[in-house]
Amino acid sequence: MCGDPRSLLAWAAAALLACAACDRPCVRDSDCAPGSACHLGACLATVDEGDDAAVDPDGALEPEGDAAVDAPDDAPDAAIPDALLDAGVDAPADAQAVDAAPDAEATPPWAPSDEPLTDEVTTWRPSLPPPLQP
Amino acid sequence: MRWRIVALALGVASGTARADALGAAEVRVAYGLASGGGAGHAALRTSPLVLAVGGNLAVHDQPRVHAYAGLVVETLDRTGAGGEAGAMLVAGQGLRVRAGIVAIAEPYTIWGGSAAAVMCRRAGGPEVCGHLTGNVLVGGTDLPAGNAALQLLVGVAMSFDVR
Repeated sequence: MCGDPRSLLAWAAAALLACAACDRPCVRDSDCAPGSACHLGACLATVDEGDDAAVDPDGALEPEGDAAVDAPDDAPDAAIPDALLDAGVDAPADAQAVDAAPDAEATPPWAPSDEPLTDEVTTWRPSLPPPLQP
Repeated sequence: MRWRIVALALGVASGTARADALGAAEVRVAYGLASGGGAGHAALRTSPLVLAVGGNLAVHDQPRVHAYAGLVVETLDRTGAGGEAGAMLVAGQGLRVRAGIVAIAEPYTIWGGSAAAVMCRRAGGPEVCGHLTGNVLVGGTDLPAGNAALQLLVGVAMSFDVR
């Protein structure tokens, strides 16, 4: 009797029906509705980490956006002393321009020249004082 | 004459009346129970309804071994798609034993090992096969951290010989 396939099928069908009728715990996250995940056999609501209006640990809703992250583009100006601003010194276009590594091929105008030094000064250059008149 | 009819009937019933096919295409539907959990707890519920379309091809003779592969869809209260692949030993008398891997790739991921006992009987042209499958799912985004899931599925398949 125990080896009768019909009795095995009947047992399997009964188990399936009983399980379908019982409380439905979860085994996988996809067993749960969207927005919840399976934790210890129960579906618990989850919070999307990418949501700006996420609930913080205190239970209060944060304002949409974060002032520390979403600062306006002119924020670097605030770090420039007023004296420099008055003198016309402007802030870089963005913070990345400050942090970016200097271009190895770009030579600043104050960099020393690779030309060999000579005693003869034949022409006046703006970086040198004008030649003395005898 | 009567003995010839009986012998022919027994041969058809046991699937030995025809030469072994080079391969077969198969459609399958399966459903069953799923159990899962981690340390200190367990949960039991019905599994997703599994639909599979695939095929197998003989890769070794004596013993007769087929490689199988196919597409797998989980449905009923979700929709996930993936695949399965492995090896199938043709044990004779309509019995096949399969072992391989099964994975769902979209929109969530879950993967693990799979083993099945398959009993086939020819019904005219195609074979009708009963599958008893056990899946041990051990990884993927769909599994809670530190958990594993076990599926026990009962399935029915139609298998069409490829010669």
